Amino acid sequence: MNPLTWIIGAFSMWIVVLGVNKLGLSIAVIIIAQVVAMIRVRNVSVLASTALLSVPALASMALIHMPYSSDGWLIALTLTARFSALMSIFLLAATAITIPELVKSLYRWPKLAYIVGSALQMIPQGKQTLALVRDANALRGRSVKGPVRAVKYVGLPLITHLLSAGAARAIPLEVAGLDRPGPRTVLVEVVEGRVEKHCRWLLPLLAVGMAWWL
Amino acid sequence: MSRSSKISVAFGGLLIAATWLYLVLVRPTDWESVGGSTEALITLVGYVAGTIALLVGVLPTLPARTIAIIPVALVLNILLGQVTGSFVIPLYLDAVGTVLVAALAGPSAGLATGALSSVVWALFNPLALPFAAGSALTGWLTGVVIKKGAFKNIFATIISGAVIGLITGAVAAPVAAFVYGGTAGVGTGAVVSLFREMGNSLLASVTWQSFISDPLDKAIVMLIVFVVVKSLPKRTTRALVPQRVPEDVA
Repeated sequence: MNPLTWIIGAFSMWIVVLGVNKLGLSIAVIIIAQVVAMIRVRNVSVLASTALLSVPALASMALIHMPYSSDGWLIALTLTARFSALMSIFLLAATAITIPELVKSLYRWPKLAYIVGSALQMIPQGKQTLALVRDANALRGRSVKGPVRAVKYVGLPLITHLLSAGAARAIPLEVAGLDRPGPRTVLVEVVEGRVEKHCRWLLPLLAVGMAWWL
Repeated sequence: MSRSSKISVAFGGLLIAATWLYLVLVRPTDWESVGGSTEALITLVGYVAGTIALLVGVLPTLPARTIAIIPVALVLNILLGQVTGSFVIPLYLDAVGTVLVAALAGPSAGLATGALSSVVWALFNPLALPFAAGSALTGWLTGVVIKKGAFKNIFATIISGAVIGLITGAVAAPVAAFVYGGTAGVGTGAVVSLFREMGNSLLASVTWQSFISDPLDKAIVMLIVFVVVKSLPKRTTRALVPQRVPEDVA
């Protein structure tokens, strides 16, 4: 399937979950999304990511809702389940998306395709740079604990290093003709059916209708 | 900027403004009903559709030099946001890249960076997606104030950041309250709980929490970017200044 279909589908499911807004549906969506994700990726990475996002949300909801009403725990549970369902859906969609397919699917919008593809590819590079900066500080025996030292000795070198790398790409992009108007083509398009191609934009409308009907 | 781009930007801006005004003026009858479905849907659809319209209008007008640094800004936002998010403090620091691009390449570039940052981050952390409108506004407003001289000294920088934080906090509060029913972080949750303890309604507590966290967060972000811009090599800043869109030169 086209990555855009996955993204629009996930957004549409958000509309259904928020529109219906019932604990039962949220729990059912979490279970289905997690099972499908486990079958797809054959590990528990989506479950782990969902838990990583949902545990602080549960703590926050408990702090906000539980002390102030008799059914505070139920409100906290319902909102956390809704939150976890929203996260599960999008993380499931993300497992089905590869960077090359996503960039190819955005070829009609070349600037957007470059930004999205480049950013997704640069994240590991950014993490590596962050680790290098930390290592360099450790080798010098310099502590980076505390907000001021963290910003001064980790944040600023990270920013200047990545920015210089970005600046170096500016001229090649100009030379490659990113500013030139006109349509672009790709050698091999993303494989998708005609129905999928023309109907995916209707999914959010369908979701609104489903939420209203349910 | 072409006429169609201007229409798209105007439509996007109006849609976000109308969504916010509706949620604030036509308040839910029960202030505690923040978990309701109607307000959540209006917030989600209004903000996300408005952000898409803004991007459709702005993105084609940005020159390649600006496009080259936006991915860097996105990575900075994501990395710094993740690092800060792992601490139990009511701050985000996820707009350093956005403000940096706004400072170097102007308000339009800041707007696009802010919006895209939330969209790309959503692939790892879907929590960010509905906040795209607030991020776009952060980029645009910081670009405007920096262009007007917010970076002339450190005090102007901090005060501009705090004022922008108040505005973006007001825009982000409906997302936290209606889409998520509170906040998703332990630090921010503790602040909301403190306001509830003082007798405020849930929505008012979430809004007050935004009014505390966001000005402080944006003031710190502006300060960091101020230091970065002053310490960047001139060769780097010159290479990043847009050449084709004179109005965007910061």
